[in-house]
Amino acid sequence: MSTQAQDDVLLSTQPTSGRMGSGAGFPDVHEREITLMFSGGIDSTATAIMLAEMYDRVHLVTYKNGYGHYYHDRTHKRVTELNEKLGNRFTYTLISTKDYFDQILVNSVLKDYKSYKSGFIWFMGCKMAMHMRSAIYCLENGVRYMTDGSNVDTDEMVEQMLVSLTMIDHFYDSLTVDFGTPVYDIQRAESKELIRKWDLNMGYEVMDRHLCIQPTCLAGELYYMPYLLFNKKVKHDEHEVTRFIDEKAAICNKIVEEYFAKKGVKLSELLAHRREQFAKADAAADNKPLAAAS
Amino acid sequence: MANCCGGKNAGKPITWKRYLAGLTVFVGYHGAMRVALSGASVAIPSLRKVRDFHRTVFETELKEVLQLEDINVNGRLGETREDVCAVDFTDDVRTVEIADGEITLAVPTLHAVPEPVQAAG
Repeated sequence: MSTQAQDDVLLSTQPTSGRMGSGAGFPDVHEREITLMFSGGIDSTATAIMLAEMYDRVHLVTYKNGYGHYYHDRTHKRVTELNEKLGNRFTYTLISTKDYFDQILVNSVLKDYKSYKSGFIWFMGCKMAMHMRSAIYCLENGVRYMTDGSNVDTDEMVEQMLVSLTMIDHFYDSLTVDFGTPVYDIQRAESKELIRKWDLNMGYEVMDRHLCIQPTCLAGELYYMPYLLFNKKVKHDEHEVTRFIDEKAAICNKIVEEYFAKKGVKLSELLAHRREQFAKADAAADNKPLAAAS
Repeated sequence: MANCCGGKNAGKPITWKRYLAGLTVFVGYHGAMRVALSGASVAIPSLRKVRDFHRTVFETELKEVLQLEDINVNGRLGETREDVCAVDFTDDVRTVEIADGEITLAVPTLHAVPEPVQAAG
């Protein structure tokens, strides 16, 4: 496996040819490629399998927040497994979001806790850093579509609440990235069945959770443990969640601007280039049936 | 708008046995983590904020667990809890107010796999 070390990228199997930074200017948009935020767990693995049937290449991106976030080698093993079973359709990139997470939340975590009065800020802040970096990944690699394995069955997690996903969708949209959650309405039993069908590792099943197949988050185990152990309701007030995302999205936008400025790229020009390419691709797709009919 | 969502299992009854076993796991695991973080943050000052956050959340959660807040031991809160969000979002388009206006929840398009645009040819 080839690896590259650049800035926050810890590991990558993604070829650099034709991508931003390879000297080719703005990257061409690859319509038949898609990015998936990937942990290797049940939902994201099921999503990866589904996407592999529809796209030529699936970019799997995984993040490490630097604060009690361990066992990323499990994700890497899952990627290897997927490539072996489904025929090398996946690239894999592991990225550190520590610096972004610091700026979005950690530097102000106690102040934010007083303001929002709930531990959800850790997870939403962490996830926003991941989504923000995923948007950058899509922009750098000419990818139009972005997905994750969010599922209604696990919407006790703040980042998988519909309101959170909606606001994240708006964030991606402002950066010309088309975000979707393909397994949101799919029963977990169906996802499990799909994974079993491909004979992939299911880990150890404990209380409907599959252990040892994805990274572990220490903070997550603290916050969601009362729910898992005692069926204790989690307290995620939608107004507070939206207020938090709204506030932190401004920081995310600033980070994205700075990221590209450091690389000598004017973000507004890159976005304009992508919109132009989308328009051409959409027009070509609209014309295709007409051309076929004539 | 209610505090959505509490989780699909929120409010479901548990036994005293499960409560006590859970309490042991919760206190044991996070008590150990608290000690570990306190020690680590001496050597690594950047961990202090994490230590403080962990301590605050742990203490808050532990207090609520000990007070049986929202915990339905032996069905003491009834079999079902009305305030638990179990909304089928698929057909439920709503708006949520935020600081500068309101947003419309983007269902059902949010759930779709984006179809790749086929190249013309």
